[in-house]
Amino acid sequence: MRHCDSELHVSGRSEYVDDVAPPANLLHAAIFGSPVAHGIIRSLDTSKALEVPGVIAAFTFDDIPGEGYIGQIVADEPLFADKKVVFHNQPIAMIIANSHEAARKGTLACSTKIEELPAITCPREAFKQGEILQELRVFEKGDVDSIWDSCDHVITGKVDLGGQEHMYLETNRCRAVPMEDGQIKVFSSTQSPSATQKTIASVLGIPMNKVEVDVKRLGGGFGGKEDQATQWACMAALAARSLNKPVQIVLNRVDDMQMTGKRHPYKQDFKIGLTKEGKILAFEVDHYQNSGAFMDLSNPVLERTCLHSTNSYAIENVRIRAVPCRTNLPSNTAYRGFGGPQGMFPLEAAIAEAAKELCVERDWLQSQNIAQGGYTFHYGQNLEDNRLKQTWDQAVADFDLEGLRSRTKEYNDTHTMSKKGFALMPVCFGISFTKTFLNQGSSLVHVYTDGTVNVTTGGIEMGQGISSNMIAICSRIFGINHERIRCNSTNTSRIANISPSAASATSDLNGNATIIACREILSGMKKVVAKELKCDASEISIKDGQVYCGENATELDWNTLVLKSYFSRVQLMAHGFYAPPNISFDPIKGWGRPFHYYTYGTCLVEATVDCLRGTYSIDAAKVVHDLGRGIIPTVDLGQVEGGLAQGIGWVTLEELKYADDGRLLSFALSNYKCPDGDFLPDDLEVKFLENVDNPGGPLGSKAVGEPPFMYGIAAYFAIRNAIDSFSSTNEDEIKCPMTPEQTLHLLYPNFEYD
Amino acid sequence: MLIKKQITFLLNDELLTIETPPVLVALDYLRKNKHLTGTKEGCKEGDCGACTVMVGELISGEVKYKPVTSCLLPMGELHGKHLVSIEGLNMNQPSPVQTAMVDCGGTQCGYCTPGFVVAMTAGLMDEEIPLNKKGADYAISGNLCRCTGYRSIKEAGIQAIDHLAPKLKNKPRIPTLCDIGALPNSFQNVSEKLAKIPPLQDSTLPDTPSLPFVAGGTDLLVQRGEELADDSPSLINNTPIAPIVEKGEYLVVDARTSFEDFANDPLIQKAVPDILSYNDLIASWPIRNRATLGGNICNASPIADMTSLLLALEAELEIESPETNRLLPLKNFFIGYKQLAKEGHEQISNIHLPKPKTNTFINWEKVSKRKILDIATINSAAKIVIGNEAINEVHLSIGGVAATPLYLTKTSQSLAGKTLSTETVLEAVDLAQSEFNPISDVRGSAQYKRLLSRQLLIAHFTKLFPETISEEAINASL
Ligand SMILES: Cc1cc2nc3c(=O)[nH]c(=O)nc-3n(C[C@H](O)[C@H](O)[C@H](O)COP(=O)(O)OP(=O)(O)OC[C@H]3O[C@@H](n4cnc5c(N)ncnc54)[C@H](O)[C@@H]3O)c2cc1C
Ligand code: FES
Ligand code: FES
Repeated sequence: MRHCDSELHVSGRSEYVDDVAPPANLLHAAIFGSPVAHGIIRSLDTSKALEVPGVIAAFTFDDIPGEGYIGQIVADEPLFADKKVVFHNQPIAMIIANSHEAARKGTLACSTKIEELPAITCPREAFKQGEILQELRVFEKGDVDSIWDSCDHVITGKVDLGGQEHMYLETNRCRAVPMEDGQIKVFSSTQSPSATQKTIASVLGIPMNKVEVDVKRLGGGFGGKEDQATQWACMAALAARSLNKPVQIVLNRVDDMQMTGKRHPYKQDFKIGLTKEGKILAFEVDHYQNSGAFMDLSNPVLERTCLHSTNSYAIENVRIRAVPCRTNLPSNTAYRGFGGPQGMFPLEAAIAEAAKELCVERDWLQSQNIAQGGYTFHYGQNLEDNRLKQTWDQAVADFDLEGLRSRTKEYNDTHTMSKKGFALMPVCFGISFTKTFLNQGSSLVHVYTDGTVNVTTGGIEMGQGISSNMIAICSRIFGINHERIRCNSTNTSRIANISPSAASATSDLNGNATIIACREILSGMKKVVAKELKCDASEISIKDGQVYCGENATELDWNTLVLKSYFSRVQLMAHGFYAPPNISFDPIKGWGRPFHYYTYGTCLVEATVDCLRGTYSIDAAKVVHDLGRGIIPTVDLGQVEGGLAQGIGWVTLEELKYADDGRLLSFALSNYKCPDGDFLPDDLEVKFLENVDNPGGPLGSKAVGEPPFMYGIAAYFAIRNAIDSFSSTNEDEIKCPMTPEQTLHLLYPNFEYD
Repeated sequence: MLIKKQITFLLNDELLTIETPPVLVALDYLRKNKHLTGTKEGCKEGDCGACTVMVGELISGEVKYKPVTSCLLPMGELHGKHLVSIEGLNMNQPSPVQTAMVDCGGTQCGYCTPGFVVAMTAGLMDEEIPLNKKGADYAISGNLCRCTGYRSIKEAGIQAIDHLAPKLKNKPRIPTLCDIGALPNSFQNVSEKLAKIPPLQDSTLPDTPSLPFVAGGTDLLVQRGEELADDSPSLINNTPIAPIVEKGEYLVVDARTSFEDFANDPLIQKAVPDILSYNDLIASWPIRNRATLGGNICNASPIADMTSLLLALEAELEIESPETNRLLPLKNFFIGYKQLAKEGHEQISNIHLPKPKTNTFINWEKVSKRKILDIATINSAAKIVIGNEAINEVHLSIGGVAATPLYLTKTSQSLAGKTLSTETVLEAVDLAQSEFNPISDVRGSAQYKRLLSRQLLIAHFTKLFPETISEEAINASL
């Protein structure tokens, strides 16, 4: 089986929000954003916009009938700027016109006078000025303060860790259609249909049961549409309801990049203490999260940063301090890994620095400290098995690390201006929403009298293959061919209170719910034929659409079974609900069992640096990944490779640049560069641990969406490793991403021109 | 003022005559006017390839297809041409490219996918593109995917080629692809259909051309696309582009020559032996099919790639208006940031390139954040003529360090007559720093540009004369 939408995709027949034939009288929205990053609005004039031919209406904060402020954790974000602006291009007004072009022209005719205030873009600076979104949090284990003296080596450092643009190929978009009796139907490119439904209801001041949100598929999300697709849906709904016409909003790329948040940049301080034998005794890290203007999801993102600050390593004395800092940028938000990558990076940097001081290989130091089964993390959860170490050992063996080490050395000894390097990255990533209540999934399975099946779940199809997984699960539980099964759009009228498709958990939660629904239908069906076949219902199974009694095929096939069940008045649709057991987390104490289980893996990246030009190539990326029992091989592989690719991009090319006044300078695909086919290595190999199960995931599978992202961190240290063979890196602040600019500076630390 | 233009063209398998704003881009026409929504918008500035379509043009009796980004393609240019969107490639059965993409898992969210399928198919249809891994990569140089990590897409390209290459061996590609079900049959008789379209009777054209000139539109429509959609600028690519010819000591190049045609021209390849490897580092295949030399020069961006090369090659511009026709050295053309030594209504008609003398060595360097499809942080070109004992002539250019593309007059002169040695080179690159003053911007800090410009100037010499100028010696000097 392949991704179920593949054939539609390759022929351009799959429909995204604005591909569906437009309803009559469809109107178009465009956004007028703030020209400055911080200031007080002294005046706002949209009247000129209304003179533009085709423009029909303008909306501002004052036109919101219900709650003007939105936000899932704290409702602190005004839908349109309210008296002040806090980031560049923050939406101030929305122009509605009979064409997209006219609406855009309308926005150009808007004007505002803003008394400008200084903008803050650095989280350390924000912290200094008391601009925090929440009190500092501390996670502690052991006794860090008293251990430093007994360490043979203590190393401190600073990290400047960049953010990342989601760069989903499909920008944010939504179409809202008014319906009878004040209802509204919304087609949105969102990962969170229920949050969208709830927020629209609140903004419009209407009950949730009048808002239906439907999501067929997304052209990519990666977390960027978890919380930040909501506002555009609210705006479209607002205009649709007040004008009583369908309204569509499609952000152009530049607006999308300037108006929506990204992966959180962090500033970090670390301190690591080791014995001379290379045992890490203590690790301390301070995280200053660049949260942007509002809370959005910064709090849970930061929480995961804290939980994953020791990644895969066993360290007895740990202190993590973290604070979300308010800056004049769009609210930074969920992004594949959800703070995990930012948690893991400083420790990897610390290990690299420590390896230099101890004159040992970085990977040796890593291997000495990898956590094994039985280890308890600083938040109380145990590592229950040894598969993390197993992925490391397999990577070292299968990818011939020792051979690579000697080949690299030989190459570097014989080349002056070209150097090779490599690095390993182990990943131990917890699966579950750390907000325990979100760990619930629902599925609705319909079996029709012709034997075909429809499944609807709370999972959003954004390319990750959730629909295909749901179909595969139905197919295996029912024992029928996947071609007889379809996966429907995700719709708040069919599934209530949907958790966002996030935290890698979508397939787990909704897949398990689907299994429950399918089993419920099956059990009724089996009873019907058990009577007829004169056997026990428990002996009945279905394989390839044929009914078996024990080992023996019967005359009955699936279709007959369905019909017989129907005529016997047995239910052929069921709702399944699933909430994983055994998880609980006290966010105040920072203690508990937040994760259902862990996904593990180890990645090896090789790089070559051109020491004249400061450019580099990623030559190979190889992964051993623990997938449990995968559901659909090509889909799982695609998730690992895609995550890895984004991770590599984050630490290499992808650089968000802000001007001091808070404007994003890398605001288009021409100046923000993500990896392309040439940059990513042809030598990309993913191996899955064999013969491993996972009782927590559906059909023994493991969540796979986010963990591979962090493999990409290996690329950063592979390039650094190559640079180390040319010059000695010793900067005040370790900067990520390792752009060609950064690389050249590290190669020639003494160059200065005045 | 908007003057609509009547054009007749083939859209997939449908012959259409429409009135169109000349600079309505094909992407909007397809999606909004025709509701052909397989073509996607990802950036509207040529950078993602989600909107890739093919344009077929009748050239000496045969239709040649090129992939281009429809978001920068003015409809006004399509008279007599064949516009092919993903819908025009669909058949009852998936094509080998489509099948390979499905088999290899080359599609996840699917948003980028039609663009990839069109580009890969275009690669198969173009006789010049080799049916191997290199050709497969070439074809998708303009396409971004955020989901897959590309391994699966690259594999799909190879799978399709492995499947088709044996069948295409020694056969004309397009008819053969049709015969074996890899292209719709409607591609069989396109040349007849296009030949029947009468040439445009351009009575609507005013006497004086309306400004600005649009050549490939790959700069102009990125910067001013929304505004120009309501206007009727002159589409100067609408008349046939003259082939590159030799005239005495010069090669004469029509300014409207695309990057792709320029790099693939045998005369150019003779004069600039490594031109094809430079070409790979400039924009992407679909953009190079549109981007023109004249546009590159007149856009006057400090990091214009072809311009930096042409500067070192001592190009001269033939500048034309109804009143005048004059020749100007390219190095005298830039007088300030985006300020040119020409009137707005003057058009560059041709570029004159002196044919290289014997013992001429040419090199071009570019560093950008991403190697493919990215704007240079710094680019630089060198033309060096070596005499018996010493250097005869040097022409160095550099981009990205000043308000305009720069010809390094002092540094170039300083090298003439000197003996080629590590010291000479180091002195020269130090002198070069006094000829410009880079600023910090999104492409890098001023310090970085200083250092990088130095390195790229050195690179010319280490690359061209590795025996004399060793990287080791240079490195030891830092
Ligand atoms: C995705 C993308 C990637 C790119 N990558 C690169 C790159 O790697 N390197 C690079 O150098 N550039 C790059 N560019 C920029 C652009 O493609 C080139 O500068 C190209 O040469 C412009 O040519 P054009 O014919 O498209 O110009 P147009 O956009 O048509 O015109 C540009 C300007 O020149 C004027 N003009 C054009 N022709 C003439 C003429 N004959 N006489 C007088 N005036 C004229 C126009 O009026 C306009 O002001 C890229 C552009 C895009 C969209
Ligand atoms: S829309 Fe991105 S290249 Fe055209
Ligand atoms: S499949 Fe999503 S962008 Fe390529």
